[in-house]
Amino acid sequence: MNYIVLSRVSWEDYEYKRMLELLPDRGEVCFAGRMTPARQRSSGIRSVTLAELYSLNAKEYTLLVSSPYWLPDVLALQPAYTVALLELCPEGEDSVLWDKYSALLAAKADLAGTTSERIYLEQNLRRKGIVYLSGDQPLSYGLLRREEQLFFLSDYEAIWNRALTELWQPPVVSGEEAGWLDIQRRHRTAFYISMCAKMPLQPSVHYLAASYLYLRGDEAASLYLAQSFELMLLHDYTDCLHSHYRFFSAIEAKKGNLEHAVRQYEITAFTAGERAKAAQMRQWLSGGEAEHELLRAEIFTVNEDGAAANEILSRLSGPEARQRLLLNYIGTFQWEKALQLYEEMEADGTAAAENTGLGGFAGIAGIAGAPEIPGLAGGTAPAFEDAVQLPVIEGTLHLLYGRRHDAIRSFLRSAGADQGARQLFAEMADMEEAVQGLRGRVMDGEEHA
Amino acid sequence: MSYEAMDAIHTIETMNTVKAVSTERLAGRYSYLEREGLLPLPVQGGVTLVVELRHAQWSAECLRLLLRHSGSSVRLIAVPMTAEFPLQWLSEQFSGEPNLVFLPFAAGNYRVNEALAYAETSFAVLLEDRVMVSPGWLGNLLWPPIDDPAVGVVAPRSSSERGEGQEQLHFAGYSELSAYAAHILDKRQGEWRYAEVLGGSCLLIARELLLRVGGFDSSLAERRLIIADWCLRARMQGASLALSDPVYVHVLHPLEEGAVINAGNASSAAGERAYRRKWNLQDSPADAGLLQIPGDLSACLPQPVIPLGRHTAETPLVTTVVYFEENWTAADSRERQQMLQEGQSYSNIRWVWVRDSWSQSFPEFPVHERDAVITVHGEKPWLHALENISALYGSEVIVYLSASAAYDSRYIEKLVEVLQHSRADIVVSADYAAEDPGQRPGAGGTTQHLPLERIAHRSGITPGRIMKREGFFRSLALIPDPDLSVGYAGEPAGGRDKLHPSAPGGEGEGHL
Repeated sequence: MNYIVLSRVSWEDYEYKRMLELLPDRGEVCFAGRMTPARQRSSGIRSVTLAELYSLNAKEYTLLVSSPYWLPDVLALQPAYTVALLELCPEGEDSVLWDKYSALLAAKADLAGTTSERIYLEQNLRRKGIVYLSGDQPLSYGLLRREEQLFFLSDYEAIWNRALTELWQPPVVSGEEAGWLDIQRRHRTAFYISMCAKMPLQPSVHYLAASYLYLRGDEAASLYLAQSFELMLLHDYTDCLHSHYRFFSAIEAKKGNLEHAVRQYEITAFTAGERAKAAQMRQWLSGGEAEHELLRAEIFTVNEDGAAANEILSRLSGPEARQRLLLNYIGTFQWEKALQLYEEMEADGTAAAENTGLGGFAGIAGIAGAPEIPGLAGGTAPAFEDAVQLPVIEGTLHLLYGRRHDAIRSFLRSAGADQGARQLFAEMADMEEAVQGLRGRVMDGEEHA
Repeated sequence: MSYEAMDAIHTIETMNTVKAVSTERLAGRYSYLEREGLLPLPVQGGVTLVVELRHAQWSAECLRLLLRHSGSSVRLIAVPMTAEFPLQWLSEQFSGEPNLVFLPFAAGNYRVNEALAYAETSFAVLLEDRVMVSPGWLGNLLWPPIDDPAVGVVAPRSSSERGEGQEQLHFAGYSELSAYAAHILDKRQGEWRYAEVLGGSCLLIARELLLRVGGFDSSLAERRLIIADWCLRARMQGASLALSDPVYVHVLHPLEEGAVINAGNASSAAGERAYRRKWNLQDSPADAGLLQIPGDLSACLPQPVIPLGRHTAETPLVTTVVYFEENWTAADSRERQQMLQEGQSYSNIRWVWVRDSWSQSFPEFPVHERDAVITVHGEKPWLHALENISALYGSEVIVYLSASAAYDSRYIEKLVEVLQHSRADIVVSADYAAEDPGQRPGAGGTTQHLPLERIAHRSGITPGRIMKREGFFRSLALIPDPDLSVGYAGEPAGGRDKLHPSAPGGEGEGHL
């Protein structure tokens, strides 16, 4: 496999040099940016300019992208595979812009990796192809020979290697249980369980153990969550009903105990919106199998587990399920899927604005100035409640695909001539500036149009 | 103090300084030779390395490093442990390598024992294909048995070793590993310690001990239990185990192993149970996954010997007890031993030679592989030892042979076949009936005196009392335990061996 590296920083500061050494089936590796001839020789990596990048047959390459501001190029190049290396917002960057486009890059990527455990957990709630590029195991889990060099792989390097290989060599027997995703979750679970024994009074360690157990579908999650909740109360952190207690409802839903799940959600429902949701849940609880599935999906949604909710909703066919799936696609930044689903719904007449609630006003989650999408462990805003207006989504995608005029038209359509449009255009300008800034930084003085 | 005495002290001090410098210099030179791979192994005839192949993704690298860093006098025998292992793919990569042979996988046959039986060198190393070695590993592993000949088993430090020998490390690459290994070799040169048990991926074994202890018990399923069991059996044979401090080997771990939260699966749980049963250990849920060993090995019963070599379940192990009733000369006894051993067609025999110390007829003759010589003092212990052979040596069948009697080449083979197809506990060869027709037992209820040299019995029983018979040329007789059934096998009409099973209590014996 050939690789193209789209970095956030210059080669000298590139953080994933070892990862490049360990790439499976490594053929040609190109770095988009300046490298000295000596560095190219010693690393076996070719430096390419932006113009050269576009002259390559990208269908034969896998992109390794570590800045969301490469997203327009990723979409233009159409590579064989896109691999996103997700990072927390670096110092000096606009965090709202960074987080939004990072989430879009992650959703677009065939595989994502991150050294941030927070991002790792958030992505686990949105998708399957995510690897935590760090670990705590002091052992070697594999080897890789490249010419005269023999490398030993740590646990996450071995997992990353396997995940990359499986992009083009899918396993004969697929299944989450035996796959690398579950293996890494189990590694993390084992680590946090051992940490709980070492730090019995630390609520966050128990919460993380519960989170990993939950992701693995292990019923022991509730024990660790209960311990975490009790420790939070003991430490006088009383505002943990949303962040901690509500999580019980997701665990119960995974176990299939819907009655328990609804009751636990009800305890945490304070706002009018939450109480309305709880009433809806009660109604579904007394319904049939389809309603129960909707209920399960809703419990996962209110617990920010978009991946689990989408899995259920994509199997259901009713208009209610499709509307919720649409909202969840938006909430998990799968915006192309959202638009596609909306078009299908328009075709069969279930996409009326009053049905989706997406046509008439601009939501806030997906545009600059909005609070970030909450993470698993401590977000206070309920997930997906403030959905983005569809024309904004459409406009953002136009912008990313380089269709600037279409983007402006979409933004104008969504906001009219009021203040919202100005905000959208400001974000557009920020994005364009960030892209130019990135190119300048990485290409080190190369001129850009 | 006289001036002369002061001179003498000065001379001694100077000599000590010179000696210290010289020792340090010699140590430096030794380290140099070792680092450069210029030292031969401290053992004649080289070493056999038996490599268990389980990890196709690592095995080629493991073999390459072993061939590169073990010296020219090693011989490698690689044994696939699963049917799925891509042996052809691997062997093609090493087709020009004269010191490496492969034993193909054979279902139901634990070929590690066979590979170890092929080891003709005075030391063998059993290791997994996830072990990565570096220069000097083997030479240094060989020193503890040279320092203390009682040491028969040595393990290096590694992440898969247990207890003090466990060292959990990760290296970015081989250059880091070899730098660390060289540093530790230099820093801890010459150090080793005794160990209670070993259980890691790499084990050096003295062949002499291997022949006494026998093979590894594959019925324990889990490798660490198989290794620990063998180590305990080695200790019961009087051997010491050692952990080498300067040798570190890098062991790779499968991803799935690190992901285990609740240790174990069905087969490893069964292995754990079998191990606990074998060593009479209490089942303790708190210790699940941890290796328990008996506190006092001397209180444990002797464990059955697992044969080395190529034997399957279809060829059960037979312990053949040879006793000498007469005072033979050394030359005669040696010749007789050879005749008996080479004359039998049955392939899976452990020979146990029982002698009384009064007899000079049994010199220190060589004992092969799992065989044994039991020396007792006086007639009573001699008879007692003969009665209790099955408790000492586990096997499917026990056959008694007199050094003075003649046996045809299929004698043992026939008795085993008869015992396999009958319900009798003890079988008496019918040749005896032809020789002593008057001694055939009737149904009269008189005490039976069965000629010991024609007896075979199942394992796990004490066949009865053995006593001297007066008036017979062959003078030992078995008075069978009345609870056991006795059958007779032979060819009275020139036909196939047949058997009449008898009911317990000595009644109903017969001939089929």
